[in-house]
Amino acid sequence: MAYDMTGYLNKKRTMFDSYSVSKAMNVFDKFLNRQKADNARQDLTQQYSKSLPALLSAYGQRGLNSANVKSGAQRSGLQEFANQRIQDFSKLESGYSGDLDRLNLGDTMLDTQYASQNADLEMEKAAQQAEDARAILRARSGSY
Amino acid sequence: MATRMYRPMSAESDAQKIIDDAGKISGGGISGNTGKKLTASEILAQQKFNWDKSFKEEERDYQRALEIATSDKTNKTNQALLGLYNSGGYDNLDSVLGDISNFETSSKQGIDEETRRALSEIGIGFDLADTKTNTAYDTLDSYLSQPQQDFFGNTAVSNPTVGNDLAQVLSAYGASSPSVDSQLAASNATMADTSSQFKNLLGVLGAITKKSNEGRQVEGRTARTSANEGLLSQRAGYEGGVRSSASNALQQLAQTIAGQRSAAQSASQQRKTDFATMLAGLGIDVSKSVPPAVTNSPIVNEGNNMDDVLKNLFPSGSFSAGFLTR
Repeated sequence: MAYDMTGYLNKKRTMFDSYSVSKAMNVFDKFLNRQKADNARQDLTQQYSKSLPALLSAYGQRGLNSANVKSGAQRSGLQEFANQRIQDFSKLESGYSGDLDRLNLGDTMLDTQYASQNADLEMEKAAQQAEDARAILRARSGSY
Repeated sequence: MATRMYRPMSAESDAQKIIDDAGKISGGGISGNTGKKLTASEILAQQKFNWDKSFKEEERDYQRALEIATSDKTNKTNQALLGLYNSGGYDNLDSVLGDISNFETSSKQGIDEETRRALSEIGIGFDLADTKTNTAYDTLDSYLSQPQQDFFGNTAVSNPTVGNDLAQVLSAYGASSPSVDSQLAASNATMADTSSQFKNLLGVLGAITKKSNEGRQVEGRTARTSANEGLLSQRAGYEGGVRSSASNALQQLAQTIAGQRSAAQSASQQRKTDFATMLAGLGIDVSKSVPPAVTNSPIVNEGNNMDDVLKNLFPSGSFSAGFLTR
């Protein structure tokens, strides 16, 4: 009684199919994430680029923005603007890098699970072969 | 006792023939020397007298021969029967016991051969199963002991940072200040901390996976041990079954043989008793070495042996067993 590899190969193929599909989808998710991050970064940069002249202009209309007049109000406004920009970009980068980390972790989990499933399948194969070996002994031993 | 049959003389034609024959006799025969011519009636009477006389003599001789033959046959038969009884030749007990012994020997040989064959088959099966089992677990060991890829250690970790793109603007307007630098440092530190936590998570997951892999290797070794012990146990069970079956078969054979021997001996004893009873019925005492002589006994058998007896008594062949039944 020989071990039938059909079941083993079938499970192996099913596992590989599932793993490959999930990996491919993950790659695409990472691409989308990067694209969203780029777009968001670009939007935020534009947003701040547009806001800065308006801010400087507002102080200028009040006579507070000449090179010789460095008012405390303008400095304070610019610092606040700069801090806000840093915070917004920080949130954006944190958000998208978190998403990317999750996708990378998902990728790793897929690799790990796939390796684990393969190892379990090898164990199952060995156990089945051992069971078949017992069946051989049983058959050789007749009705005793 | 058998009775001799003879032809009756009542037929008229026969009588006339006798008379005519008598007429041809001239002065001879039973008429004596008187010279007187006998009448037909006298001749007939004379002939009848002669015939009756002859018949009686013949009958007497026959009876005598019959008695001698019968008693002699009976004596010989009785002697033969007693001899047969004493020799035990009437019984085939030894032959039957020999057959039973042969059957016992061949049966034991058969059981032994079957036991050896079954044990050999189990041994072959075990070796085959043992080889296959160990090959399977060797393959598994080889697979599981491969250097495992460190998936979590190789996982990419993003390390985002932000910069102060407005540094020049702030400087131009004299707005560069520690507060902006502080904000920048704080934001980058927060993101770095997140990355660090993520790395820690990867480290924990990697350790769990490593433990899991090590556990699987232990499971593989345990499974091999269990499979090997299972095979040994299975083999021991089968061999025990074979030996038990052989033992039962031998026990059953012993019972059968004992039963057959007992039955044969019982049947032999019964035959001996029956024989002795039959002999006693014939007046033969089996405790005596010689049967009592019989001088006149009834004919118990009219088979061919009687011909032999008569032939000894009457070598000329005057009598035969067929004669006795006429």
